[in-house]
Amino acid sequence: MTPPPEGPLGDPAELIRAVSAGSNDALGALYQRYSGKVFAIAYHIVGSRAEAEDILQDVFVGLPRLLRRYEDRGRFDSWLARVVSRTALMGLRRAKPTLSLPVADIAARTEPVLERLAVGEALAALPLLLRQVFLLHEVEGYDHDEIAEMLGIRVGTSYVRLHRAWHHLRRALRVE
Amino acid sequence: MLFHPRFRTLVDWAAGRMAEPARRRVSDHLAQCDRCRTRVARIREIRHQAAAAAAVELPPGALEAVLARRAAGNEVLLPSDPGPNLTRSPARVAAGVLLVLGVAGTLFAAVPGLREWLAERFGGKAAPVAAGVTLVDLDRPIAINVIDADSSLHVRFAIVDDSIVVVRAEGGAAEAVFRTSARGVDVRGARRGELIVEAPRFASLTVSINGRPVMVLDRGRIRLPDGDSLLTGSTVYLTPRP
Repeated sequence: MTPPPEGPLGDPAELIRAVSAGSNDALGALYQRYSGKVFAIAYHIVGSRAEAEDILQDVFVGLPRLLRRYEDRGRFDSWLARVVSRTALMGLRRAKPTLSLPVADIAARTEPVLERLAVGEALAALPLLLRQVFLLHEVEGYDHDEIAEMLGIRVGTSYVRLHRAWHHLRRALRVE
Repeated sequence: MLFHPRFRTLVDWAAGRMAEPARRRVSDHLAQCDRCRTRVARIREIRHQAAAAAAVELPPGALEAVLARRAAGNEVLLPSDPGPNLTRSPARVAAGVLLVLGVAGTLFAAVPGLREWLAERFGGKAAPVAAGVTLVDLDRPIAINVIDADSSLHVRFAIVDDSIVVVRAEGGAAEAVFRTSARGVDVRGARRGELIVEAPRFASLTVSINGRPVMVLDRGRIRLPDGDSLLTGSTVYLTPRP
């Protein structure tokens, strides 16, 4: 993640105030700081790069207005994650997602390609609801309480989905 | 530990999310079991490879696109923060149930006529939800059905930045009866006046008058029966045919 900018806009509270007041500089700083996380969450939930890009743009276009009503009651990044996940889930309700794991990107990297392709294919074959929880938990590092908040499910459901996802992966990758 | 730990136990152990003393027991087992050590190594490898496979790079030019849309006056109404979810643990659910029961008991004792009102309410006779206003949590596509509307009823459609659909009636229509259901809201007996539907941009809902769909909000557009499509934020006046 890009480090916060120097100067007064490095202070999160000041940044939020400036964005809600309509400052494009502040919005740019906020984008630098959080766009990676926003894009990853959206992508893991909808499973489509194009949809995730739409969500990324929509979130940052809509943030200045939404931040006018923001109450500083907890971590801003947790609040933002909930906003992103709700936006993504509403998009999912409107259209069936398509999966586009970046296989070309995978092949371009230096680690063993076949192994990663196998894991990528196994991930792609996971049912969406299981893949969402798996990626938010195992890749993004959110705990089950946070995932439950983000996806509007119970904590127990998050646990169950994670372990079902592992069960699918284990079978697909033939882990003895 | 006499038996091999379950696969899910090894997943939790490998992620460091197992509490003592269970963690210690699994660690002791792993120290002497090649098979489970191999499994743990494989689990870590899969997690690592999954992170690499699912990694996405930010699309180039997204910030410029955002700023251009803002400069063009484009507005996006995001769903508001749902806040902390209070129904996540059994203890919280139980506390909530006890609180509701306590309040209900107090109301029964304190409010004269409440028992009779409830009997009438659940005996099948309709009553307004809240003086001609009803709120519907937006967790699914909903329908707003206006039943027995006469020809002078107007329906106004407004987009708001909230995640709740608000239906309210003004003028003589405020006498109408609102009934909520899992699928949305029925407005019965609306007369001369105006029915106002406020919904978030992301809402998906249909407004029907006397059984005939007259407006559909979907994907940020309002569709009318004649095929016209309006941007959200529009105000639409409809006069149902008798």
